[in-house]
Parts: sequence; structure tokens; C-alpha cells
Amino acid sequence: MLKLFPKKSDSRDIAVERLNRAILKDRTSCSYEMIEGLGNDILSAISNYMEVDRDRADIHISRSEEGEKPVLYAEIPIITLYNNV
Amino acid sequence: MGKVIVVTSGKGGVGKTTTSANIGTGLAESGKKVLLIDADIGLRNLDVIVGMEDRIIYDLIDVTDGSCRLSEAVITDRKYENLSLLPAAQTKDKTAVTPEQMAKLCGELKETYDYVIIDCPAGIEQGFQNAVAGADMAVVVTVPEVSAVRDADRIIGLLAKSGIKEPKLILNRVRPEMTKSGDMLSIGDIKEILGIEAIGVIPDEAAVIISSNKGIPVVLDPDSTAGAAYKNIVRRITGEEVPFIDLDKKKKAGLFARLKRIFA
Repeated sequence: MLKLFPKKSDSRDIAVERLNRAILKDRTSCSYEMIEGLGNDILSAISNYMEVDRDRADIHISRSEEGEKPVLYAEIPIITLYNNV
Repeated sequence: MGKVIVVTSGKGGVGKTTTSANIGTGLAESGKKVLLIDADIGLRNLDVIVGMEDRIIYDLIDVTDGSCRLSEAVITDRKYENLSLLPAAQTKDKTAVTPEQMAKLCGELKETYDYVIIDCPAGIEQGFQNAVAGADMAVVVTVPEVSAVRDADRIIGLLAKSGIKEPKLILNRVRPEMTKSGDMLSIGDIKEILGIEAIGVIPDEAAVIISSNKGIPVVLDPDSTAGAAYKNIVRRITGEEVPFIDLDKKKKAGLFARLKRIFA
């Protein structure tokens, strides 16, 4: 799981963030900024239908089973569903 | 039916050979019949780590190209007769054997041995393809450094492509004081980034180098924490659930014991 929104402080945290970026690029050839933008767009689109917990949202890219194509996963806790859409 | 385990990493110098030697020796110590295979053709090293370098006559390539029988090339350990080594050739290179030949050889070896441990060379070219061809499972060795972890991720992807799912992680050369001070990647960080389960964490210890000087794997050193960590890995490989050593506590306990001796 490559967290999209890590916090920065000491050299270990810097290493984690740099690794996340490098590995993401290695796996998908996408830039971190692109995936970050994608994550924000997903959350914005979803917020038309439901209220979600953005802080606990986990959107990540992982290797698929055969090692061929990576998979985008989104695990987003829902606070309220808007029924009258 | 035996199991073939490949020990790989991508990055060189992170401890594959040491890990192969110690896992193999530890399994043999616990009574299993083990064959170590050095798949680093042209850069032979496993022999020197287990102290069998002076007894090599034939090697892996002699076996696969039919120049000799397997029994002529395999060297048995002096202390544990259930531990053997099939050394690498020193004067050829990775193209001297094919993945198909390795797969066939491993299939035959599984009938005789409980465990076949293959020490994979660094890199992702034919040496890697040869080493994984006959393997049932993989151990990925890495160290808590950015370059090594990145290469480990690539290797995990290539292992999946070769049909080896769910490799197990060994984190080597850990310095608990640096992890604590926030200057070293932790096992938790690396597990999360790579997305695989860990089978062991080995501390950075002088005993590991001293044991390679002597050609006696550190798993046989009762005073070494690295040795104890390798023993635990062996137990986990055979299916036991073993809690991980608290390396920070161990280091403090060692320091305290030394201070006690000074002031006693």
C-alpha cells in the first residue's frame, strides 16, 4: 500500500515518501502529482453522493496478481449517504 | 516432496548469500535434509560463507551439462551430514545454464532433499531467471535503505511474473537505535511499501562478519542476536509461529550486561 498523503518530519519519513514516489513511478509510469490529482478528483466526485472521511481515505496502487498491470484501490469510509440525489 | 526456496533481492550486497547459508545451516541443524545451491555462476561465494571452499571439484554447470553426476559435485558439510552444497562454476557465466535445465534439476532434487535453498545472484537478467525457474517459494532480502527497497519492489513484481506469489521479506542490517531516532526505515514501513509479509529481521552485528571470516554461519553462534534471528526464521519456514525479537530491548540488555561487568 502506497499512502498518498504521508506526513513529513525526519529523514525516515522523507525516505518513505521518496520511496512511495519512486516505486509508484516504477510500477505505473505515472507521476505522483497525477495520482494525487486523481485521488482528489475521486474524492470530489464521491462527495456529490455521500459525505466521506477524507482523512481516513486510503487510495493506493498495488501490483496485480500476475505482476502485469497495477491495480488502483480506493477504501473510503462513508459518514453519510445522501438519499435524495 | 521437498521445497525449493530461492533467496533473492535485486540489489547486490544486502545479504542473500549470508541468508542462504544461515537458513540452510539452521534447517540442517534442526534435522532437515538440505541442499544449498550457489546460482551465482562466475561469482561463486556461498562456498566460502559455509567454509567448504577448499573441497570443490565439480560444480552446478558440470552437473547440468552432463560432465559429472550430481553426487560427484555435491559437497557434504563436515559437522552436519544432512547439509550439502552444490557450488557455482567460477569460470563460466550466467548463460552456461538455462532456466529449463534449472527447473528440471530442481524437480529431481525435490525427491531427495527436504529443502533446496537457491542463492540467487543480484540483478534481473538470466542469473535471476535461472535461479527462480525451479523455485516453489521466494525469500526477498533487503536492507533499510531507499535503493535496496526500490529494487526489492521490482524483484517482487518479477517473481509474480515467474509464478512465485507471496514472497517473504527478510530485513537485514537493522540498527534499532537508528530506527528509534527516526533515521532508518522500519520493518513496518517496508512491509507497507512492498506489501508482503516479513519472515525475519536481522540486526547489524559484528558477529555476522566474524562468522564469515571463519566460514561458520552465525546461526550456530549461541551468543549472537543475528544468529537467534536466523534460528527464528528457520522455525517460521517450517511452519512455527515465532514472535519477533525486540532488537531494541536486546541491545539495551547487552549494554547493561557489559556495564554490570565493568562495575562488578
